[in-house]
Order: sequence, then C-alpha cells, then structure tokens
Amino acid sequence: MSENQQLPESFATELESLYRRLQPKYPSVGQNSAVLPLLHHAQQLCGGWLPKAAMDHVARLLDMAPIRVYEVVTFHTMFHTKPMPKHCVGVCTSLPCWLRGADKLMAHCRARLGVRHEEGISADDNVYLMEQECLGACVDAPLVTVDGVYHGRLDEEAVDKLLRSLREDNHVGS
Amino acid sequence: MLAPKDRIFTNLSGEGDVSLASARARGDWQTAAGVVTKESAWLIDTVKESGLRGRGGAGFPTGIKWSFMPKTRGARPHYLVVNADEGEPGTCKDRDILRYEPHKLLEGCVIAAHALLAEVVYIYIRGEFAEEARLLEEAIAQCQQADVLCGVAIHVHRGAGAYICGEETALLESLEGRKGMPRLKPPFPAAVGLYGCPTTINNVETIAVLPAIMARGAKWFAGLGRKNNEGTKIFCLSGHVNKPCNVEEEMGIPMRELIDKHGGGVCGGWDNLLAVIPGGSSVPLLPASLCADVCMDFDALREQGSGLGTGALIVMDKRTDIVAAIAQLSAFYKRESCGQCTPCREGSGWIMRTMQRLVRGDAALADLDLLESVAHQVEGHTICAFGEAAAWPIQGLLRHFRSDIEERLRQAHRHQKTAEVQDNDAYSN
Repeated sequence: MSENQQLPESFATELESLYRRLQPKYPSVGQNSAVLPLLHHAQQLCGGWLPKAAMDHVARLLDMAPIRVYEVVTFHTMFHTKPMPKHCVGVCTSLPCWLRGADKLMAHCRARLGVRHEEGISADDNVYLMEQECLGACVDAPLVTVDGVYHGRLDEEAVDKLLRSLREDNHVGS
Repeated sequence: MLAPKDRIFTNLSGEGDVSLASARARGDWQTAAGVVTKESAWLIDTVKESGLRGRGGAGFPTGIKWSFMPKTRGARPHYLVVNADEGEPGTCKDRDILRYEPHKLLEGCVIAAHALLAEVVYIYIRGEFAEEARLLEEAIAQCQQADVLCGVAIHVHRGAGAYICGEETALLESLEGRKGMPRLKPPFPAAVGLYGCPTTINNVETIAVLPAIMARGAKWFAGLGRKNNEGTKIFCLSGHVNKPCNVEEEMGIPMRELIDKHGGGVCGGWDNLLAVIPGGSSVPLLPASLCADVCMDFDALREQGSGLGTGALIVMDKRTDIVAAIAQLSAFYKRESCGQCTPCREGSGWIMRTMQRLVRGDAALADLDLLESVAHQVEGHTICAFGEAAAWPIQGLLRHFRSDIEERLRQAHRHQKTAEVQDNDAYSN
C-alpha cells in the first residue's frame, strides 16, 4: 500500500456528495453499508486503485476503524491496493469457459501482451491481464472482460481485435 | 415440454426492450396492486400451496421460509433481501432476468415485501454485473415515477467480487459493510438478520416468478412438474453443447430432452457425452450412463446422488479430461474459501493440490483415499455450505470415475518406471 499517495483534488467533495446520496438508503444503525459503494467510487476517482489515503478517507467518513475498511478491500477481487495500468483484461477460467477453450485464450493473451507470469502487466505497461472466476455468463463462454465490460463467445481473432483497440486507445491517449 | 402459454419469462432471450411500457405490454405490473390488499398470511399460504422451492440452489420451500418471519411487525423493521450475487460456475440465469425481465423481479419484490411485512428491499447484485445493476436502477426509477411500487422502497447494492457473498448470511455481513464471512446459525435471519432485524433472503428467480403465481394461481404453478418439484425453472446449458443457452422449462424435463431440444445436442452427438454436472459446479457430476434417463428436478437428481442446485448444466463430452475439469473447480473453491473455518480453508487447498497431482500423474494410488478422506472431513464441518460445495465435486468424481483414474495413474507410473530404467541404462553405459 502506498502511504503518501496524493488524492485527486475533487476526491473529498465527490465522495461526500455520494455519501449524502447514500445516507437515506440505509438506516441510521446501518450507515457502514455505504462502504462498498464509497469504495467503488473512490477507486474510480483514483484511477482504478485504492491508495491508503483513499481507504482512510472512507473510514473517517463512516467513522469506521481503518482496519475494517482495509479488510473489506482486500476481501474482494474488484478492489486493488496497487496502481493499475490503464486497462484491465480478465479471462474467465472457470469450468464452463475452460471447457470452451479459456486456457487457450489466456495463453494467447499472455503471448500477445507479453505477460510472462500467470497474470500481470503487459510489456507496454498498458494492460493488466488476469484470470477471473466465474463471471455468471456461462452460456456466452469463453468470456473476456475489458475494463469490466463483458465480451462473450470469443475466439483468438476476436480477442486480438479487442487487444488492438486497447493499444490504439493508448496511442491516442498518450 | 413447457407449453408457450405456461411460460413465465417471455422476454428471457431479450427480444423485447425492458422499458416499463413494454414490460406492461408483456403483462408485468398487473398483479402487485391487487395482491397488496390481501393479508400476509394469505400470500404465504398461496406460495406454500404453489410448491415453489428456492431457485438459488438449496431448494428450500419458499412459503415455509417466509413463515419463519414474525407474524406481526414489532419495534424492528422487517427486510427482504434479494440475492443477485450469481456466481456459481455454470449459472447465469439471474443475469438474464436482471437484464431482460427486471420488472418481474421488481413486481415480485413488492409482493414478497408485502407478505413479509417489509417496507425496504435490498437487491444485492454481484459487483461484476455493473451494467445489469445500472439497468435495474433505471427500471426502479421508472417504477417510482409511475408509482407502482405500492410504498415499497427497493435499493440496489453492488458487491465487489467474492463468491462467498452469495451465501445468505455472508451476503448480510457484506451488505452491512463487513467482509462477507458467513454467520453462525442459529439465530436464523428470520429472527436476527440484516441490522439485527427479521430478514428473508430469496434468489432472483424465486422472487421473479411470484407475480405469475399470484396472477394465475397456486394451482396452476403446482400443476406443472410433479409433486414436491412444482413449477417452471430456468436451466442454463453450458459447456459442450452446440447451442449454449438459458431456457425456461417445466420442472422435471428429462435431461436428454433439455440438452437435445434447447442446447442443440451434445457436441459430437449424445454418444459423445462423458458427464454432466447438473446443478452448478457444487453438485456431484453424473456420468453419461445416468444422464440418459434422469429428469431435471430436485428429487430425481437427489436419487441419483446429485442435485438440481441452480439448474445449471455443465455438459462435458468425451474430449474432456475429467480430472483436469474437476481440478479446475477445486482451484476455484480454494481461491474462494473465505478462510473462516479451518476444515474449509485448509481442506480446499489440500483438495486442490491433490487434484493437481492427479492431473500431472505424479500422485500415488493412495492419494485417492486421501482425497476422499479430506473431502469427507471438510463436508459438514463448516459454518456454511461452502464446505459441501468444495467436497461434492470430488465425491462425484471418485464415485463414478475412480477406476478410470486408477488406470490412468498406473499407466503414468509405468511410464515413469520405463523412463527411470532408461535413465539408469544411460548412466551405466
């Protein structure tokens, strides 16, 4: 966890305004329920990951012990406590996708992106590649998510197209 | 086969749009307003009479679950929580309800909330279903505008990626803002649930069939399927079928008919079938020999040593390395164990590592007994049913494929011996 990460300027106001909108959704004894939606939003504001300062901010907002927020964060696969590349590609490797060639797709993605380990950051630092647990869309297997968006019934060619669009996006952005 | 007139989910394939107007044209929101004028007891009795059993995997009778709630509202509010944390490998039916039939779910929420004396409903949806959550929020906003929710407040709450949060008490923990570790029962949620208040947790599909049951009557629903296994069910066909799909069918449809008629048949034909996991990854597999005549309902599958679970069929043809397939599931359970109970935390890792040795062929024959023993020691020794979910796929594999695995290991051992002899020869030369 990075200790001295600067939060975006609008972070505090944006988070507070979300919290005000969330408050009526939960009873007064259950205000901690807002922790997941606040963390989702905080991660979005911080560019796809949660610096310690962001988690501490959420803890203060909800009057929770910081450790209670950290343990919620580390319990879930969608939260990241390290800076993430601009894009995230997930290949579902659960059984229904595996039966329809997910391991081959994963190997293909690794090769294309230059990821040397099971999961990791691409050679151009633009993409984080990861295996994902069942995404609940098994009839569309094999399934790949790109920045959280589902793409189903893919072959290697279709995956190449998705990866190419990320590269082009990177060039435009940089 | 289900007659078109008996279908509940007429937009399951997403042909029509999901606006309130279109949903109304399909028959949604014509029931709740009348139902909320009835007594709670009448509603609970109707659901009991319909025979509806929970569609989330356990198959507990919904009406009976509801009857555990206090009959009058005391100082504490009552809650209905809808479990939309769909994540059981093979299962993807709730996603299509959320995407294409959100108004059936919302109308069902109003009906169930009234029966349970609840004014607030939380729909806990898995974090990965971001688009589905957005659609659901949109549908709720339309309903609020049209004032059809009969005073019930429905909130969407997104998870953040944890299979265990689909366990109902883990879900409550997560909803309350803690990490999703299952609670010890008793007390059951009907007595002490969300925020310490009486709570009922139901699956998306369970809630979404309620408007149809109320509109057409309990007898109609009970007339479908067979006794103790009534109604319709959404089945998910995945794996080695020609046309993977979600389809609503009558409970008790023969498995073969389901696969052939809706899934376009097994890849390479029925004779190419190796095994089917009939109810989501947690239930024991059935080998092809048992699949030809088995019917898809709770009791028929239990008689064969498996279960209906979520109604998700994972079909595997003869290309499949069945040991590697089950090892894939073992890795899933290892990763998703919440770590609270020692038998599950340690056992799921033990099972995974032994399965990986079996896949590589460097296991001893005695490892099969070890595997059986570990699975047995996990099963029934944990706070929640995750222990069973991790153990049952292993038990199914050993029950039906043990002799194949033994033969495979013997072969691997023979190869290793030959290799060793060759190595030794090379040295001595």
